[in-house]
Amino acid sequence: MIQLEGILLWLGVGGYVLSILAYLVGLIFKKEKAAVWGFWFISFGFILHTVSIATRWIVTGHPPVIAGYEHSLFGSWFIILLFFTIRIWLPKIELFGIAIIPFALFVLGNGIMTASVHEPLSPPYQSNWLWVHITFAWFAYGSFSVAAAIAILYLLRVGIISKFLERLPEPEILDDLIFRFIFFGFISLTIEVGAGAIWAKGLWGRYWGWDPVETWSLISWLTYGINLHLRTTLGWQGSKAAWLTIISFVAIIITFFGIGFVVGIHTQLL
Amino acid sequence: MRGVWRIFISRRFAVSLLVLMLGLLILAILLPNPSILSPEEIRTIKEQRPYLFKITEILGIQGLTASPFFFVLPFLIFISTAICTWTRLQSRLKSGGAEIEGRVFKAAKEVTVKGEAKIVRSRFLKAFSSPLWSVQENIKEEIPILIAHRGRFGFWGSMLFHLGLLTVLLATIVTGLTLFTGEMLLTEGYPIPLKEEGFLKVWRRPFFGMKLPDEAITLEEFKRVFKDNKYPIDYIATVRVGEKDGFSFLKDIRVNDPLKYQGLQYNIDRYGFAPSFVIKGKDGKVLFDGDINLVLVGGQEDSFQIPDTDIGITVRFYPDFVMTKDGPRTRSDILNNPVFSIKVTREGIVMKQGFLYMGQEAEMTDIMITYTGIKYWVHILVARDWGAPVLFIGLVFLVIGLIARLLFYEKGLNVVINAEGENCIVKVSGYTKYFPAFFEREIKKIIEEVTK
Repeated sequence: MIQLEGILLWLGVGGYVLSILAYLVGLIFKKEKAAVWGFWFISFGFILHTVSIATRWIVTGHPPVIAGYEHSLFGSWFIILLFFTIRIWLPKIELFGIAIIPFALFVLGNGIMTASVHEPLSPPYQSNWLWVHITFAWFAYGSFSVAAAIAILYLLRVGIISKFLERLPEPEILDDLIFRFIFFGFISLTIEVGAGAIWAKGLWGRYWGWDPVETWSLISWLTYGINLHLRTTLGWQGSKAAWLTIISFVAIIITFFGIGFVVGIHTQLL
Repeated sequence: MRGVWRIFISRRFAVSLLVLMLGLLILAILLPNPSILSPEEIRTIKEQRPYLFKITEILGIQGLTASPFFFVLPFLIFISTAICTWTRLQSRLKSGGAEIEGRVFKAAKEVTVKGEAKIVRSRFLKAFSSPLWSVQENIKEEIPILIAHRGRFGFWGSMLFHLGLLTVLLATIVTGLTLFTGEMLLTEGYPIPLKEEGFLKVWRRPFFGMKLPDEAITLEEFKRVFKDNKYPIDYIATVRVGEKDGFSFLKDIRVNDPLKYQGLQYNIDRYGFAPSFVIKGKDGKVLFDGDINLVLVGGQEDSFQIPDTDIGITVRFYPDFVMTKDGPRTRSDILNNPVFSIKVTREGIVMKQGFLYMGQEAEMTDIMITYTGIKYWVHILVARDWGAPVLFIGLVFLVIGLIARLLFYEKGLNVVINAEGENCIVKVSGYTKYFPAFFEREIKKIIEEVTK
């Protein structure tokens, strides 16, 4: 079972890598079919990735939410899931994969090389608030990753290599999509921080302790809150707003990857 | 006064306050945080970089969040949010919702549609059949004009979000005034008063003071449950509150299931071992007979001094002892083979060291040590915070408000149908609060449906 999980995951990673290659071929040589293949490779990778997560879930008896390996496994899955949701608004978005899949692989790669221990949930994690906290954390981080990826595409689309990216939707659509993902990510981040506060209250008797992870979560919340404020009330859009989206994503990178450096304080529980 | 008011209703001022708060938090988090540093690391910074230490004391996360400035800033955000929300609400009530506040995006399209005006009109009405659209019809000089709106809740979503923000800020004030935090250490079998003298440390006291329960708490038993003899899956601290012979009750405290008593919450936070020793002098006189809470190395090591002597003892506990080529180790945290490594010192000089098994008596220099049993200690966090329920209400407002804002933002369409022979010239114009590019697509889609 454990071996099966690894095989499925690596095959899934293979699917993602092939999809990037197919998209690149589609983009450089303007081959429509290659882009379609790219989409099928992502779908193939996603199915195997999902089965790999399910296998691990069955073995450990809980969703993969503990330590770096499981965070990366689940987190990258959420990013790909959000890629598929873009299809609700834009059916022909195959080329988005070229920006989003590398983000997912980056997250996956960060954890896949760390120890993959199959452990039951330790007592502090046995709280229903954990599921709310983690699920929305990944919706938030996934949304902000996708927003940052689209912001990069936007800047390329209106910049020097716009000719290569003509098959992408118009810049205005990309701008709206960035806004949508930031909005959704902000809602998810609010739920994540709120659920974390309720969980913390049950664990330590206080809802906020200014530990590094909590502080970075608040910094992320303020960053994206300001981002939304600038867009909705002061009219920021276009390249300026795209740059802001990319800069804001730094807060998420630190909050997620920074956990590794400060793990002792946020998860110092028995 | 008017100038101050103008500043507070300015959106730029609100954003500036948020940016200032963000900047301060980023600066604070990048400075060393004493709460996650060891005393040694703190000492090193103090000695080698005194300026950094000074800055950390003022602008580090602990210094900043305790400073009066950090109370003033949220207060200003509170005032700014409250005034902005109030003025928006006032102008909304004045206009009766007829005007969309702030910036809107506009779009327009004109098309020729085959068919009679009546049929074209009914096709548009079908396109607006979703209950989210509210449609009115005006007929001016026999030209039908359809006016469709949606997003009635969007404004109220924004209001609720800001109300949530105000409630959360209010919660932090309530917390600041009512928070009590402290820590206790309970060893199995020893009653400890719930009054302040029973605390290891009281970190925060409420502004208006508070009365602690006039009872004692006793750790009756501490149990650990492991899966596969390896992974901890439950910790249960059975405590008795009150006197054993008088009024008392028992409660099992688990990690996510604290004791709640007289408005206070008692959580188990850490545990460790507390071995029982009897130490006798050469003449057989009992020098020490009691339990030692090992609080270092995850509750497995500590040093202590025998009272009225210059003898120091360092104890390292191995719950599942095994001797490896690299020295003594423990295979797990389970008490399969409990063994102590004992080091006896006199004036800091190691006199003798060795291992001690359960029930074993060992002569170490001029003392006899007997290891008679093992108990547990648990570290308890005690807290009371009246701001928490206020915060959770605020969070609910925030989330519902944001969802309503995203799903029900304002947009509207005017459709003017002008009959020209067998065709109609249709002018579709409209506005949207957000997502202008998607709005243009939506108009295009509606027109496609109607002209099909």
